[in-house]
Amino acid sequence: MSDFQDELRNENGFENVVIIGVGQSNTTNFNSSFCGNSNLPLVVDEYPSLPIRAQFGESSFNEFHKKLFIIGYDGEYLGDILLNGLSTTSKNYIRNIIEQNYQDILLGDVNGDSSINVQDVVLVVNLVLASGFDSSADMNSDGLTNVLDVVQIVNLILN
Amino acid sequence: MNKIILILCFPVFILSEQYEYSLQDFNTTSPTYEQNVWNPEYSDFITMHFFSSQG
Repeated sequence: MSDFQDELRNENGFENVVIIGVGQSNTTNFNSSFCGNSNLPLVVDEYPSLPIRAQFGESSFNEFHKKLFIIGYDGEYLGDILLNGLSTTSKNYIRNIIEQNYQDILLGDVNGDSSINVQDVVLVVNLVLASGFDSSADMNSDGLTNVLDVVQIVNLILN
Repeated sequence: MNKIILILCFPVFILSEQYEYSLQDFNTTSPTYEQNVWNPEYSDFITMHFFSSQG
């Protein structure tokens, strides 16, 4: 599964997509039994209440097994597919949905006005002070928004 | 009157349903290990949620 995420990001150019594994037991053996050796984020849907599954609308545990939900930027449902292995057909189904909904993000354009200026610097500084994160402000792609990103945005504007 | 307002508002709730959770990432080899996903990390991503009975 992490290979497919790499494909989407590196070969298809969909940098801002992520696959999150959702398991359902205690955390002791979570990584080893679910997505071992993967770099995908993994969360636990606590058994027996299974709040994530409840939120996604199906109560039957078996209905969720190996199901992938695709969710848009605003938390809206885009599609779902049952994955018994990642076939070319399955990959293409997912790619098509992403392609139809993907929005390229201009790095540094934190307020989304299609330009990079002092307003973005102010927003990034506020993010840093609040220990927040925004991928459009993550200039060095280290998964953090910090003073290094502020410096890079300022340099971008000055240059 | 209240019933009419409720009836008018109900379809809006249905159409505007949004998914969201914020839970700790337990994968030690993930770049967001011990941080909360999908919010705030990945909040401006297209996200895919893969459910498994294992884990």
